[in-house]
Amino acid sequence: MRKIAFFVAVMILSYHAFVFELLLDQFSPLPVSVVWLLSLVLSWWAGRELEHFSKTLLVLTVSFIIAGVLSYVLIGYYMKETIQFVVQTLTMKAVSVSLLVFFTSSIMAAFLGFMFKPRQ
Amino acid sequence: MLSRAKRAEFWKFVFWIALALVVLNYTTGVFVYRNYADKLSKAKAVCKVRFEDGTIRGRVVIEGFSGLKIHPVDYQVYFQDNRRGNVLKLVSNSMFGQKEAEFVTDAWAGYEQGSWHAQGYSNVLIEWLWLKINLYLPLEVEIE
Repeated sequence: MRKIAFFVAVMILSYHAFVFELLLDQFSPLPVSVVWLLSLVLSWWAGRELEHFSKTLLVLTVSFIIAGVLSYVLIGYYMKETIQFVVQTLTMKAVSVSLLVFFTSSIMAAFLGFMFKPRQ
Repeated sequence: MLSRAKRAEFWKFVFWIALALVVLNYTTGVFVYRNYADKLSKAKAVCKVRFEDGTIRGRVVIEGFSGLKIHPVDYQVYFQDNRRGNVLKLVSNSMFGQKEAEFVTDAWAGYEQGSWHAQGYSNVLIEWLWLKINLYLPLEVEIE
C-alpha cells in the first residue's frame, strides 16, 4: 500500500511536470524530449517495483487523472499574466495529442519495466 | 558484468536521478516563468504625440525593463479617423536598439485634433538568462 502511494505520488509529479514542460518549454533548462524520457524512466520504475502489472496500470491511470486536474487548476493560478507567445504555443490540439502519445508510451514503458524485472 | 546487488543499486540510482531532474526542471521552469512574467508586466511602451500646426510630433519611449536586456527593434503607429475608422497615417521606423525614438510627419489637412485616434505597437527583443524572445508590445499612445 505504501509502495502504491509512493508511485502514485511519483507519477503525479511526472505527469504534472510533463504538462508544464509542454507549456513552459523555453523557460525550463531541459528540453521537452529529455523530460519525456525521464518520465518514461520513472514509469519503468513503477512497472519494475510493483508485483502485478494491474497495480501499475491502476497507479498510472489514477495519477494521470489527478495530475490532469491538478495541472488544469495550477495553470489558472500560475499563468494569470497571459503573455502573447505563451498563448500562441498553448494550442490545445498539440497539447492533447502529445498527452495521448505520452500516456500510451508511459504505459508501454511501465509494462517493459514489469517484463524485464529480475525474478526470484 | 555487475553483480545482482550492484545492478539493483545502479537502477535505483538512475531512478532517483531521473526524479530529481524532473523536479528540478519543473521548479526552475515555474520560477523563471513567474519572474519573467512579473518583470514583463511592469514594462511598457509609451508614445507621446503632439499636434503642431500641420505636423505631428511623436516620441516613442520603451521603459520599465529593469533587470532585462532589451533591444528595441521597431515601432508602428497608426493614426485613424475617429468617426469612420479608416487609417489616415502610418508611421513606422526602426528603433536601432535605442529605447527612445522620435518622428515628425505631416498631418492631414481638414481634420480636427479630436478626430484623430492613434494606436500602435513596438517589436522588442528581450534577453534574460537563456531566454531570447521577440515580443511585441502595444504602444500606449497619449495625444497631448
